[in-house]
Amino acid sequence: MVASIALRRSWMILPAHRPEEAKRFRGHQPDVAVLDLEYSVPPKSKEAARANLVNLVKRVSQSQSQTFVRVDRQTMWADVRAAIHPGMKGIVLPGAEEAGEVAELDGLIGRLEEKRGVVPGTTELALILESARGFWNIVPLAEASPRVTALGVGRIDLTMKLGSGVQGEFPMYRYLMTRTLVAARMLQKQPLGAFFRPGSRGGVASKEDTFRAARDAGLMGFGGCLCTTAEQVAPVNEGFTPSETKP
Amino acid sequence: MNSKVCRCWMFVPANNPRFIERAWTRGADAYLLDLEDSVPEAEKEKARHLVREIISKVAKGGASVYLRVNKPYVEADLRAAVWPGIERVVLPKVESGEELRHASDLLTELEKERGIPVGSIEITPFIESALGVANIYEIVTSTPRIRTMGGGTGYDMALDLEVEMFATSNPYAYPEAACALAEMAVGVEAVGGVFVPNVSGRVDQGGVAMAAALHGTYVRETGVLHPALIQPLIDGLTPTVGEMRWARRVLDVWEELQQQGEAMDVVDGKVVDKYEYDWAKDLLQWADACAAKDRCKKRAIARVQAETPKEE
Repeated sequence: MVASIALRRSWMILPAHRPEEAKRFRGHQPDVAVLDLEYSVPPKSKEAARANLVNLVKRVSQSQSQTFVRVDRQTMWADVRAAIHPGMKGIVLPGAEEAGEVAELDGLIGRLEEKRGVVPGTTELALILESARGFWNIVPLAEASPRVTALGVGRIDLTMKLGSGVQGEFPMYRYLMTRTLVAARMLQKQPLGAFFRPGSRGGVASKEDTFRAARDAGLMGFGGCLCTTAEQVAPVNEGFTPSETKP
Repeated sequence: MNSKVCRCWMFVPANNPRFIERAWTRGADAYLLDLEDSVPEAEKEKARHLVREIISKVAKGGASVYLRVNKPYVEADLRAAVWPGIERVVLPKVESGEELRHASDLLTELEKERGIPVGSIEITPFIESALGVANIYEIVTSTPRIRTMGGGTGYDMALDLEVEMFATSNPYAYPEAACALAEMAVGVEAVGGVFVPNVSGRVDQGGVAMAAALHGTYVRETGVLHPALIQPLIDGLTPTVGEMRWARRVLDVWEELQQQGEAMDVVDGKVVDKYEYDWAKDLLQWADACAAKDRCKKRAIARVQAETPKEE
């Protein structure tokens, strides 16, 4: 388990309602292919995305990449029901705030594993934190289910309205990354996140900024991060790969 | 969001008539009548009994009035100085929830006794020690009177931590962020105490630098000692015309996206999505609240001018 987790540097997000786009990941060779039911899927395509998932999981899990599914917290139950299939490694849950919701999710996954012929207890959970409440509760969240294998820093510059701040860093960002790292090391989870700076986040981050964000996070002890665009996969892989020569 | 806009409040020592008479002309959103660090020990007793008279003087320009008390004399200060017109009590150097529950009970008693709606006076605790940072969650959840809170930075914090407050690296990075995180986790607004280097030698430039650092962040309230800092901070914490224009555009685009069942679009090279929609809605609410506060101050000042006989 630990060996395979160490190789999860790039988590490439693939909109699950577009099978043709979901095929594109092969050329980019992400360590993890994240089939998305959340942000990249518009409301009108949610149903189609869920229906699509069983085929996508089958196809993607035959590749080099490990398969995860990102669910929407607003429609978590329906999304998780659509996601659990053999070959699917785990669920990415963004925005969790209370240990209770993670424990409930754990129960639901357990029931679905049994029904769908997945080895009980093997479906993992990657928690991506997006709110002050979530970061405050980071330890109880991580302890709420033995399925949790990763703790990540989400798009908090937007969700927590951090602004652009001084000295080239989002205010609080360094603290929240460090807080995540400490919890992750203490509980032996993989810390996920990149040290993005103001003006270079999300879909607009250049390759250079993405590499720098990944490398800086890697030097801080992080193991990987989500990639919003395909172009971010290569710089993320490179940034999180330890180099022979220290920078 | 805290509905009471206070982009900048200024400290006014409660024992100094010279400052008090002119304070209302300074343009702050609120004045904090101070009984603590700016009042010498020998003047404390006199100062706390002056507050009742001062409230209406500093409120003349439409500003709110706050009161800062001394940690060792909380009871004496509150009993002497809490009268109608005091909207908030600032408690410095808070280290436990117990202190806050005690102050809150006392306020309830005084509110009942003095015809003030019960529960209406807010408490703004300030964290200025390591112990306070360690107990932050217990403190911030101790009473519903807390809507705003400050701390983790400042002179006393530096003394308690025995750090150099003007070091090149930010010595408050951890305590400030730890306090802010707990505050945000329970929906309490952070009062900013950002320290930015000001090498210009001009006080107002310090305000401009502070405002630039805080603009667009989760911090929408600051406190200052010098009147030259007030206007730069009020301007800097108010949304700009350009931001408001873009925010309205985001709302329009989002409306269209909703109707089409889409979740994201790129407009003028900028992403419009649920995150940007939340940002835009919040920014416009804040802009409206700022404009309302400015109108209220303007009307109050016009009223005072109309009542003042011209010196001719």
